Amino acid sequence: MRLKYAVLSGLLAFAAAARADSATRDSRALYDRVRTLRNRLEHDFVAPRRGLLLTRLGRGDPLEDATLYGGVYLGCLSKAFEITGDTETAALARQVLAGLLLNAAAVEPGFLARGMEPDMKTFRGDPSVDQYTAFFYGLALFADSSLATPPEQKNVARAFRDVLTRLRRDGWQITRADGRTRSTYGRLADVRPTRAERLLGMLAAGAAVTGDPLWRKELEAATAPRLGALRHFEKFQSWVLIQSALSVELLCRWDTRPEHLEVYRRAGAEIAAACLPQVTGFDLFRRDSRPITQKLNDRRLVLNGIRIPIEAVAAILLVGTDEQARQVIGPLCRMLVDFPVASAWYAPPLVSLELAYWQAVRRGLLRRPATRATPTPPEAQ
Amino acid sequence: MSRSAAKTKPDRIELVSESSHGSLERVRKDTGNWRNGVFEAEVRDAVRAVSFS
Repeated sequence: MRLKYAVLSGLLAFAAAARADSATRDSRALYDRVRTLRNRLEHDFVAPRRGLLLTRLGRGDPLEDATLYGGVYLGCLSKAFEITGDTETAALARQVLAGLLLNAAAVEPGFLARGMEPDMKTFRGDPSVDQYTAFFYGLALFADSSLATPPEQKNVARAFRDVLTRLRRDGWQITRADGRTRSTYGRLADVRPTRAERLLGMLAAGAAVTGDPLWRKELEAATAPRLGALRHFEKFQSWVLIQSALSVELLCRWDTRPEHLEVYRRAGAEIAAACLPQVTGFDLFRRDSRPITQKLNDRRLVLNGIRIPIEAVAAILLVGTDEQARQVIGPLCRMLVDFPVASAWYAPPLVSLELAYWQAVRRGLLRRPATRATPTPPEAQ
Repeated sequence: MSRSAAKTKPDRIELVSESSHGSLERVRKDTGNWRNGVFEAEVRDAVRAVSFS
C-alpha cells in the first residue's frame, strides 16, 4: 500500500514537473521533435526495398518483430495522415503497408512471417499472437483512413481473408509455416492471458474491412465466452498491454453494440490503470548520469527506463479515460524532449512515442501542428 | 540461428531466431523484480528521487 502510494505520488510529481516546463509544451517544439523521430524511423529503421520495419540496428535480430512493430507503425501513420494530410506520411505509410503485405504473402497466403530477408526467400517464422495483433491493427486503420484507395482496400481485405481463413482452419491457433505445429506463442484461441481481446479485435476488424458476413458471425460466436475475460490486466507490463490496447481500440471502433462497448471501455480503463505506475520508469533513464552510449548499452535500462514507460503512455492514450489520458500528457512531452532519438538502436519506443503523440493530438490533448497541408487561413495572416 | 526445412513455397527457407524463442524469458529477466505492476526497488528509488528533487 505504501509502495502504491509512493508510486502514485511520484507519478503526480513527475507530471507536475513536466507541466511546469512550458518549453516542453510548445506545440511547434514538440512537433519538431516528432519530425526528428519520424526521420530517424524512416531513414534508418524502414528497409527501403522491402518496407519492413527493422526493430534492432546492429544488436540482435532486426526481423524478429518486423510484423509487430510494422503494424503498430502503420496504424500510427494512418492516424497521423488523418491529421496532417501530408504526402510524406502517405508515402511512408504505403512503404510500411507493402512490407506487411510482403510478410503476409511471401511464404504462404495467410501465414504471417515475422520478416523477410533481402533475398525475399529467407524468412523468420514461428509468429506469435503479438505479430497478428498488430498486423490487423495497422492494416485495418490504414484501410479505414482517407489514405487508402479502393485497390488498396481490396488488397487489405484479401490479406485479412487469407489470414482469418487459415486461423479458422487451424482452430484459431497460430501455426508455423508447416500448418501443423502450433507456434511457440500461438495460443490465440485461449482466453487468457490477454488473449480474448486479441481474437475479438481481429474478427471485428476482419468483418469491417472485408464486409464478409462470415467474420461477423464468427465474431458473434467468439464474443460471449470472452467478454468476461477482458479484465485483470494489472499483472502485465506495458509492452504486453499496448497490444491489448490495440485490440480494444479495434473493438471500440467496430463492435459498437452498447452492451459490448461498455465492456471494452471498462477494459481500456483497466489497461490504462495498470499502465499508469509504469510511466514513472522513464525517470530511471533521465536520472542515470552515465554517457548516453553507456545508458543505451544497458539493456535493462532500455527496457525499464525507456520502452516500458513509453509504451505505457501510448497504451493509456489509446484506451484510457480522458482523466487517465490527461495525466500522461506531461510525461509524454518530457519523453519527446528527452528521448535520445539520434542514438536509439531499438525501434519499439520510437514507434510507440510517435503513436502516443498523434493519439494525444487526436484526443485534443496536444495542439494540432501547423503543416504545409493545413495552410494558415488568410484572415489569420 | 538454425535453418529448418523449406515450407509451402519450395524455395523458401525458414531462419529461426534464437532470440525470438527466448524473448519472453529475456524480457522477464531484464525487468527484474516485477510484482503488482511495479519494479519494486528501482521505482521506489526513482520515486524517492523525484519526490525530493
